[in-house]
Amino acid sequence: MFTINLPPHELAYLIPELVMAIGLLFVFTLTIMEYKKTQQDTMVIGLVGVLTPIIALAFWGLKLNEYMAAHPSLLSTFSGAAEALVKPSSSDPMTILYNTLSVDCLAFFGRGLLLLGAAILLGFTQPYLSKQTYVQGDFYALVLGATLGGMLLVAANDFIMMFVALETLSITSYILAGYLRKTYASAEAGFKYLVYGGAASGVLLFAISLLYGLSGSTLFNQTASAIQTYSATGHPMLILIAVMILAALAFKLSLAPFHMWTPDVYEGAPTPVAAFLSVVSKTAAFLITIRLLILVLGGLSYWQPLLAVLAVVSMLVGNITAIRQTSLQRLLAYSTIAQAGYMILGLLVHTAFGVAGILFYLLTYLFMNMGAFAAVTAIKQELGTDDIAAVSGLVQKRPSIVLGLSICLLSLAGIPITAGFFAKFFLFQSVIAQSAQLMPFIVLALVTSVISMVYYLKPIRLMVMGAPSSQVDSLLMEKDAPFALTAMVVATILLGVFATPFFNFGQVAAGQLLSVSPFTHQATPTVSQNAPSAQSTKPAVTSLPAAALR
Amino acid sequence: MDHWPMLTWIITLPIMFSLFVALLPDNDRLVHRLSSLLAGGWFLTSVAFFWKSQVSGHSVSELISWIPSLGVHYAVNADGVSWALVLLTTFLVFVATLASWTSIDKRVKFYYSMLFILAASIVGVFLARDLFLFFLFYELELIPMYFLIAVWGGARREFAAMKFVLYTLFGSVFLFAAILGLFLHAKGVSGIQSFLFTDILATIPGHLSLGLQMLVFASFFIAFAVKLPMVPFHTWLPDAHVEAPTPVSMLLAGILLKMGAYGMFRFCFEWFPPAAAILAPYVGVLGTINILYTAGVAMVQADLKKLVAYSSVSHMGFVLLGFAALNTIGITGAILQMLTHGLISAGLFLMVGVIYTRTHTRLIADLGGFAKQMPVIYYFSLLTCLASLGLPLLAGFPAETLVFYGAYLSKAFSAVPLWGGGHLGLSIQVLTGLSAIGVVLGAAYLLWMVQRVFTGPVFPKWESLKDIVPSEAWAFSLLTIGIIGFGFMPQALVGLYSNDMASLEPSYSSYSTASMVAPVVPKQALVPTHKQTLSLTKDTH
Repeated sequence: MFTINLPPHELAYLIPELVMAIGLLFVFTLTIMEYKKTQQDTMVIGLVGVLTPIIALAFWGLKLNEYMAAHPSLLSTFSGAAEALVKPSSSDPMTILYNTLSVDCLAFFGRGLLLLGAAILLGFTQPYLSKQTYVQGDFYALVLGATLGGMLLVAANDFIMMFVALETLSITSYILAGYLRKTYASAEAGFKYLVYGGAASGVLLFAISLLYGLSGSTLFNQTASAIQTYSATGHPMLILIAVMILAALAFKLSLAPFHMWTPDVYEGAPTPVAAFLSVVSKTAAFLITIRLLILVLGGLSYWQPLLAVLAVVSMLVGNITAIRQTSLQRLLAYSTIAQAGYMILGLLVHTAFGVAGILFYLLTYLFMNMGAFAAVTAIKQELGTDDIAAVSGLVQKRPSIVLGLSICLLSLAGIPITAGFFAKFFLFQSVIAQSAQLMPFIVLALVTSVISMVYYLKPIRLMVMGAPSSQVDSLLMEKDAPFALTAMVVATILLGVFATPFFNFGQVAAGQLLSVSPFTHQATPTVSQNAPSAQSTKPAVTSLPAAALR
Repeated sequence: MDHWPMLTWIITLPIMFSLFVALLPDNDRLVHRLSSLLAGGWFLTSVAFFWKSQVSGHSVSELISWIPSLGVHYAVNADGVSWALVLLTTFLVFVATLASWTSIDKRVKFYYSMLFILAASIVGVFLARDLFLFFLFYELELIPMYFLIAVWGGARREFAAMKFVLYTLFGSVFLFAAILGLFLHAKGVSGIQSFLFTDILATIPGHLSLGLQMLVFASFFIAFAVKLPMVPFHTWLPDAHVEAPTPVSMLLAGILLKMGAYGMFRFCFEWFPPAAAILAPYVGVLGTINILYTAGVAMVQADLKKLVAYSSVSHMGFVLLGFAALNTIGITGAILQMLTHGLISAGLFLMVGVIYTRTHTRLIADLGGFAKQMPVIYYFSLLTCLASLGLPLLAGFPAETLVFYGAYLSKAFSAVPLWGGGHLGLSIQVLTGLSAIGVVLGAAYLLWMVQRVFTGPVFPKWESLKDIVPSEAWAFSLLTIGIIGFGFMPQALVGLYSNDMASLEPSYSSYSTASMVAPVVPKQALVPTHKQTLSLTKDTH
C-alpha cells in the first residue's frame, strides 16, 4: 500500500535539501559524540555547520554550471552568467513529489537566498557561540533544520507540505530563540515566540481545513480552482479563509498589527537568532506569501485592501516606534517591521514587475540586514550590551565595525549609493508602474522612510560623534571587523550598481509564477507589458561590463 | 567609446580623492596641503575639460544603459548652465579646502573624505541627464553634508544637521513623486520605459495635460524650494549655517543652494513652459517675499553668521524673480545671480569664519574696530560686502541689474490670480519695484554690519589679534579675482550659457499672453484629466 516510487530525476532536484539533511544528522551525531569532551572539539561541529549550507549552495550552483556547460557561449562573460540565470524561464515550471513541490525560478531564487543567508549567519556566529557555555552543535543543527524547512517552504505547492515546512521552520526557531535557556530574556523570548507562533499555526491550519472542505484537495492549483468557483457566487467562507491565512502569514512576516512578538523576541533571543528570524525566516515567509497570493488567493478581491492595511500600519508602527528604542536589537526589530511594510507594497499590484521589486528587495535586505546584525553581534559580544548609549564613541576603538554598521543602516534607510536606495526605488517604481492610484501608499512609504532617518542615524551619530562610553573606553585596540560583515558591506554597496541580472531574474521568476496562475486574466496585461522590456535587456547586458570597467 | 569620458572623470575624481585621503597617514598638515592640491587639480581638470569641449565643439554626452528593465541609464551631459555650475563647484571646493586649513583641526582625513564625496554628488546633480541618476546624486549629498555639519559644527550641530537632513528628505518626497509620475506618463505615451531626460521631455508637450503639468511643476517646485531655500521652508538654513564650520558654510551657500535653483530651472521652467506661464505670478510673489522678508530678518540679527545666512536667502529670492519674468533677460540674470552669489556668499562666509577663528564669537555686539587690527581682512570683507549689495563693477551688480531689467520688461503677468477668482493687482513690474527695496535693505544691513564690526574703537580684548594668514589670503584672493573680474566682464560668465537661453522665451510667450486673459484653470477640472492620463495601466477587476 505504501509503495513509494520516486523517479530518481525528481530526487536530483532535492540535492540541496538532501545535503542539508545529511549535514544536520552529521552535526547531531558529532554533538552527541563530542558532548562529554567539553567544548574543545566543537570547532569541527561548527565547521560542518558552516560548510553544509555552502556545499548545498555549491550543488545548487553545479546544476547551474551544468546548464552553462551545455551553452558554452554563455560562459565567456559576466553577461553570459546573467543570461544563464534568466534562461530557466524558457523551461516550463514543473512539480515533483506528487505535485507537492514546485521546481520553478521562484523556488530556485528562494532556496539560493535562504542558503546564502544561513551560510552567512553561521559564518559570523562561531565567535559568538564560543563565548557561550551551551552546546554549540545544537545551534548549528537547529539553524540547518530551520533552513531546511524554509527551503521546502519556498517550493511548496501543497498546503500540507507548506504547513509541515512552516512548522519545521517555526519549531526550530522557537528553540533557537530560547537557546540561551538559563538567561531569563532568552527563555522568555523562546516561550513568547512559541505561544504566539502556536496560535498562528492553529489559525493557518484551521484555514487550510476550511479550504479543504471547499475544494477536497490540498494542492494549490486545485484549491485555487475551487476558490475561483466559489468566489463567483461570493461564498462567505472565503473571507474567513483569506483573513486567517493572511493573519498567519502576517505573523511570520511580523507585519503590524501581528508584530507584537517581534521586539520582545528579537531583544531576548541571541543576536544571531534575531538575525535568522529577521532575514532567513522572513524571506521564506515572503516567498510563500507571494506564491500563495498569486497561485491560490489571487482570485479573491479581499486580499488587496487587507494587504494595504497591513502595509500602512506596519510602516507607521515600525518607523514611529523605532524612534524611541534604546536597544539596538529592539531598534532593528522595529526596523524589520517597517521594512516588511515596504516590501508588502509590491504585492498590492499583481504583476511580475511588483514581485520582481520584492525579490530584489529581499536580496538586498538579506545583505544589509545580515550586515547590521553581524555588526550588532560583534558589538554586543565586545561591549556586553546592545544599549545604544553604550556604543557612543565606538569609532575610536572599532572603526571598521562602525563603518560597516553605518553603511548597512544607511542602506536600510535607503540612502544612495547603497543597494537599499536602489531596492526601494525599484520597489516603489514597480508598484506605481502598474497603477497610479497607489501613489498615496508610495507617498506614505516615502514619508515614513524620512522618519526612519531619525532612528537609523541615531546609532551612527553616537558611534561617530559621541564621547566614548565607559564600555567603549575599556576596549582594547584590536580585532578588525568580522569577515562576514565586510562581505555584507561590499555586497550592499555593489548590489545596487549591478542590479540588472538580479532584477531580470526576479522578473522572470515572477512572470513564470504568473503564467501558471489560474487568475491570469489579471496578469495578462502585465506579461505583454513586460515583453518589450525583456527585449530591451539585450543592449544592457552587453554594456554592463563597460560600466564596470569605467 | 572614442572620446575621453570627461564628465565621468569630473564626477569620479573626487570619489577617488576621498578614498585616497582616507588612506593617508595621520598628519594634519600633510592632509590639508594634499587635499588642497587635489582640489586644485580637480578645478584645473574641469577647466581643461571645459576648454577642450568648447574647442572641439561637439557634445560631450555619455550614455550607458544601466538597468534596462527599469529604464535606468547612466547618462551625463553638460550644456552651458551645467558647465557654468560645475566650474563654480570645482572652484569653490578648491577655495573651501584652502579655508579649511585654519578652521578644521580634528579628524581631518574624515573631513576631506566627506568633502570630496559631497563635491562629487554636487557635480553629479549638475551633470546627470537621467532622472534616476539625478535623484541618486541629489540624495547622495545628504550623508556627507550631515557629517560635515554634525562632526565639525558648533554647539547645536547635531540638531542642525538632523534638521537639514529631514527638510531635504521631505523635499525629496515631492521630487520622487514627480519623477515617478513623469516616468509613468512617458511610459504610457511612448511605450518606452526610460528615465532619460530626452525620452521624458519628448513626451511632455502635447501629451501631458495642462493640469498635470501644473501638478508636476508644483511638486518639483516644492522639492527645490526647500533646497533654495524659499521662505516658508527656509528655517533649516540659518541653523545649518550657524552650526556648520566655515568651509562647509561656504559650500552650502555657494553651491548647495544652487542645486535647488538649478533643479527649478532645469525641470520647472525648461520642461513645463505652459505651467510656468500660469504659475509665474506665484513664483514672482514668493520670490519677492523671499527677498523682503529675509532682508528684514537679516537686519535685526545679533549673530554675524545668521545675518550673512539670511542675506544669502534674500539674494536667492532674486533668482526666483528672474525666473518669474519668463524672458531671456530675466532668466539669464537669474542664472548669473546663481553664479555670482556663489562667489559672493562664499566670500561673506569666509569673512565670518576668519573673524570667528580669531575671536571665537560671532555676536556683532562683541566685535568692533577690526579695520585697524586686520586691514587686509577688512579690505577683502568690504569688497565682498559691496559686491553683495550690488555695487557697479563688482559681480553682484550685473546679475541683479539683469534680473530687474528682465522683470521690468516682462510681459509675464499683470496681476496675480487668486484662488476663488479675482485678481491681486501685483504685476511683475510692481513686484520688481518692491524687490528693489530689498536691495536698499541689503545695503543697509551689510553696511551697518561693516560699520559695527570693522570700524569704531578697538575693544581692548581684541588688541592682540593677528591679520590674515597665507591660506586665508589665497582663498580671499581667488574669490576676489572672480568677484572683480566678473564685475567687469559679466559677458564671460553669461557667454557660457547664453546659447541655452534663446529658446526659452518663445516657449513661454505663446502661453503667457493667454494667462493674462484667462485666469488659472479651476482646480476641479484638473482631477479627472489627471486620472485619465495616469491610469492607463491600472488593473480593473
